[in-house]
Amino acid sequence: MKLIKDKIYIKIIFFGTALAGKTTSLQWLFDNIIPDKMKITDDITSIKTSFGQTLLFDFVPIQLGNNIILRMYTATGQDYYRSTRKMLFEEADGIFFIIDSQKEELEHNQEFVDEFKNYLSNIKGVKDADVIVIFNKHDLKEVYTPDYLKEKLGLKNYPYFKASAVTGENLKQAFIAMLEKVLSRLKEKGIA
Amino acid sequence: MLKIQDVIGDIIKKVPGVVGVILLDIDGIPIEIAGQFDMKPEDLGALLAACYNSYGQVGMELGQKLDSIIVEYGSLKLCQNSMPRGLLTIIASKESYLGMIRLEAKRAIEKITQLMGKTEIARKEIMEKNKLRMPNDYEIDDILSKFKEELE
Repeated sequence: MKLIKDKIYIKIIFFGTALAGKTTSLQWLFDNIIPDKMKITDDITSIKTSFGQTLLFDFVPIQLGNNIILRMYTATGQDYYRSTRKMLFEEADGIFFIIDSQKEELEHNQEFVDEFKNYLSNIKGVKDADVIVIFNKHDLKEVYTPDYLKEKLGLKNYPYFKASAVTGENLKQAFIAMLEKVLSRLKEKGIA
Repeated sequence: MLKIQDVIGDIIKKVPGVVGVILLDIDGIPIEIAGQFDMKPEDLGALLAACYNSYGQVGMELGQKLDSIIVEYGSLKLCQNSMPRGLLTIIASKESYLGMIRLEAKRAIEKITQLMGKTEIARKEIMEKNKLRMPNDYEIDDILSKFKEELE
């Protein structure tokens, strides 16, 4: 959390494998959950590759209250862009870890969990961030259950939601849960 | 007393062709802006910080510290400069003198760094000046209720 001029800034990022549903989740929240009066910009700002995937990030700021701005980013999911992904994590207050629940993605998810654990110990502020896991695409066939995935991937210490970014199922609940966490931390600890 | 707004405004006055100056936090949060921009400051800040941090990462891989970036567009040039915990970006016409831009950027950064002072003191002063405090339970409930309404 940051204090700049008369505003408190909170940073939340969406992290996960390529095509896990990070941008779709953010877009769904922006289109369906964020009240218009809180929107600072008309749409999400994206830097995309020539084939439409996130190159650097997607970004959207929203005004939660008079003095509180929430800034949400999605990190790029392609392995090729790992070095640029890392920079988004610094001073993150909340992290949505988007897991693609499809069986064929298990190994890839594990790589991202390893990367995440590396950030936890090596990037300033990340270990204090609130983390919520979203097990996405559970509505598809050939998926693992959240219980299996959280055990297998070593994510059982984090709260989680079983979701579908395409339909929006449980995304709003996950978003509210994240807001509750970061705002409560702001209330209790202030800005470190 | 000199203000940050005055320091960045002076760059526009002193350097012919400068159309805008934006001071950003390292994450791209706009701190002060002078001049006119066609983009929302929040979007512009996020993009500028991402570019800068990307070049910073390249420098790190090369074992080099990043001091500044200069970008040339069709009729504009853009100069981004490192400063403690922030970035100073100057946008100018293509004809403006890069040497003057860099010199004024350097002078401005020295002044802004002094004005920003120590983070802890500045933070306390900002909180007091703006009568800012952490949200209480009532305010948190109020924020959350706005999203919960959207669910129904």
